[in-house]
Amino acid sequence: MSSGKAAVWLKTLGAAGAFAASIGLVERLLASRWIGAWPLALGLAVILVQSGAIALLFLWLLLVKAMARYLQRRADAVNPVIRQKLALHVVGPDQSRELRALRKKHPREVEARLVELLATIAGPQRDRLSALAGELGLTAQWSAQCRSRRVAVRRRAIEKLGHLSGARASQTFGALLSDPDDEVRIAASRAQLRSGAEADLENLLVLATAQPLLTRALLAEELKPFAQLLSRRAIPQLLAAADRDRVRVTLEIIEAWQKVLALPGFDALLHHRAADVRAQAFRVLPYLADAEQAGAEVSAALQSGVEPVAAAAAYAAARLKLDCAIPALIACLDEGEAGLALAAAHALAALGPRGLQALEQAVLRGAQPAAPAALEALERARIGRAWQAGGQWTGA
Amino acid sequence: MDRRLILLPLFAWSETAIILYVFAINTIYFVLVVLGYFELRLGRGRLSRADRQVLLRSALVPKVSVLAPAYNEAATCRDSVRAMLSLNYPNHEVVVINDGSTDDTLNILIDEFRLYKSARMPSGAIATRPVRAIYESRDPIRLVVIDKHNGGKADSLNAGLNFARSPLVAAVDSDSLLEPDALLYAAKPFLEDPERTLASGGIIRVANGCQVEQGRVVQVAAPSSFLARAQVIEYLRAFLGGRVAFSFLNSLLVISGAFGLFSRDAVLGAGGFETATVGEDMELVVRLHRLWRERGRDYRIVFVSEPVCWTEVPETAKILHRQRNRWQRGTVESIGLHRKMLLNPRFGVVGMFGLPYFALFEMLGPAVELAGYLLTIAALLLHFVAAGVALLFFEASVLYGIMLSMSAVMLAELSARRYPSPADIMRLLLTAILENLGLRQLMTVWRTQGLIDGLAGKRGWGAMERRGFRPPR
Repeated sequence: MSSGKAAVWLKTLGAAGAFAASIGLVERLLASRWIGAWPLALGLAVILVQSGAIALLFLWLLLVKAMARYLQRRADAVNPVIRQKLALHVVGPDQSRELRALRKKHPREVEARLVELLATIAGPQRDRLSALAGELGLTAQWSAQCRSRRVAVRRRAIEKLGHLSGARASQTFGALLSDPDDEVRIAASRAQLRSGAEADLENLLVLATAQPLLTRALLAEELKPFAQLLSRRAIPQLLAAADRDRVRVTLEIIEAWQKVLALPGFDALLHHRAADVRAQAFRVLPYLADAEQAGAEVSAALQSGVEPVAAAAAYAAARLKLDCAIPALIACLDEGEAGLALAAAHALAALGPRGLQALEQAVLRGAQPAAPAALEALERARIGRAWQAGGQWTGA
Repeated sequence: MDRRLILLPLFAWSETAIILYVFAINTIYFVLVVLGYFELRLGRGRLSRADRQVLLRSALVPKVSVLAPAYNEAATCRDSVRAMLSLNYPNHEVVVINDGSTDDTLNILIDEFRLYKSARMPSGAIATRPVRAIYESRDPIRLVVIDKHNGGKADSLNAGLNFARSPLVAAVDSDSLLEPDALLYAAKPFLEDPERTLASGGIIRVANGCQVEQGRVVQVAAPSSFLARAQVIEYLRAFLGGRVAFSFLNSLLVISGAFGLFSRDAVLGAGGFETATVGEDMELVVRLHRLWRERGRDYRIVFVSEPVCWTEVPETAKILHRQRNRWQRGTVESIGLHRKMLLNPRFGVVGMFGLPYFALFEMLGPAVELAGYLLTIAALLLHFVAAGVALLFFEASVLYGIMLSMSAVMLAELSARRYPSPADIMRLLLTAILENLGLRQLMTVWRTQGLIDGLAGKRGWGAMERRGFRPPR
């Protein structure tokens, strides 16, 4: 059982226990003195305790709402002043004394506005504001919060530290990359990304390939601007890994980036022993430089008899406009299952007059599933809708 | 022989059993509500704004087909389809299934979205009522409209499954109003654990009284109608004490038909939605539990508190009666179809706790409670029981119920803070009291009727009048 679940159970049992104990107490001290019959006394005790709990809840709710409104009004009054001081500090005259005074009276607002501004600036201005964060004690506060037991606190602290320039907190981020919580790891990764150092970026890509899909999707998107940099060393190393899942996941990330990359030696992946890796490699193929030379591999994959690989090869043929693959695509259309036939049909529709002619003939022959697949593809071509990038047609 | 010698102990024992039963159900429910509250406080479902923005750009997020069956939805279809098309999700399509509407639903959709008859091929093979035509849009929007013969909601969803092409499918009601990030939140469990996650569901909230613009709830307010407000309470209670708690225990049995997200492969592998029941939402989830446990495969079916779907609830007693009758029949049918799971250790916590709880309390509860009311009144009139016993029953059922409802309102408000106006909260709390003094008893009668109808094998949905969402105030 995870620690979160255990905590929920403990709190629930604690609350239920306190509820039961309160009922017992009220029944013994009050209800049984008013009512002789114990079932009625117990029932009355339940009502009294629950009424008390509701009254407390209600008061708590009112307090929470009133507090929220008060804090909002207070923030609305003081935020313009804080923003002005911070903006002035960034561009010229030192405002640290005034901001220190403001922080004493409005610590949350000063912190929030400083983080807000840090997220929007770069260069020397960010340096200046980062130094101010140190002077105001915020950097130390956030570093301490990174060690909090509460996940939400750790995550917020990392996000704030991540906005600071320089190496003020990079050691903290490094340590938190192996935090047990997903959200904290993501926040630490994001913060580490801002450093832009190649070694850090490579480490993050390697980390991303070992994460669950959610974390991977977030990190992959953040690493997208550095795709070219990563293609020099980190990506080839990952693609040469013995772990096939890691290879496949790296290919998925490359496909998601949709950026043209130069990856020497990529051809080997088109012949990988694992079918899922081969299929993914064909989906990535259109994004590689000189991919048009892979016509033979594409045709071979179309004739391989392995449906996911053939479907991915069909997609690659369409994107790369490989006319040489038309005969193999026609065979897939005529002989494949529904998913492959559809993939082949859409690929033929993207390959000009020869492809369209092949589709018309398939429609006229009327065989299943070739004819309906061909009809759909022809219609799409007529309507002018392009093959969707990344389309994956799964069979029934 | 004096009949009192036989009847008196019978009444006494029956009354005691019923009081204990009602007390037990309310206490269990209270514990579940508290458990649900603490689980919500963990805030595990939330995505930060930064995360949402990143995911909205990511091509790794799986594609979703939103399946929306529509029957005579001329009043609302335009706005609701537009709202579904503009959900914040990186890659989704909307599949509207026109289930033999007799009004202008199809023509409105054709005109509004410039639809043409398409040759889209099905990729699934679940048997459904005949499909007349498939329509797609000439504009670059991902909308598919399936026009078919009338076959009911489950049949329509199956038709949608056949033509959907995404790994995830969202089953929604065509008049459901999804919050812009609802799909993203509902997909989060699939992103966290794509291998194990079969389905996820989110909170359904009452849209009556809220300000709706172009298919979106822009201002939240409690409904003015008492019936609708009572249903707000009921939904809050059910989601906090039912869905959240059961999801925590990995025995979630219901994902609301108004909005649920499923793995398409899992649903196709299970045979699609069952058309022989009016509770197809519950039946599918129970079937998924059953099949995966029979196969010995690790899985999860999750409730996520963040994706919110707003729906219009009945504001007349007649329609509410029909709805509750149908829901109760659905529960009876679902439990009946999978009764071999009851108290069967092979099915783990679902078989040993989830389904028995539903059978004993959700299915039979209304009948037991109704028997309690009738027995108490009869016993009082015949002087078979003391007034104190009647009072105890009243405490166990009505007063305890009031406390439960009020607790649920406040715990929900503390965790989710959905109603900004204190006046709305006060109205809801007052409704929580009044709901238990008349309406709850009436619903008990309706649900008992539903139980009887379900056991007798009655079928059919009945008409659901749609008033459409009110224009902005």
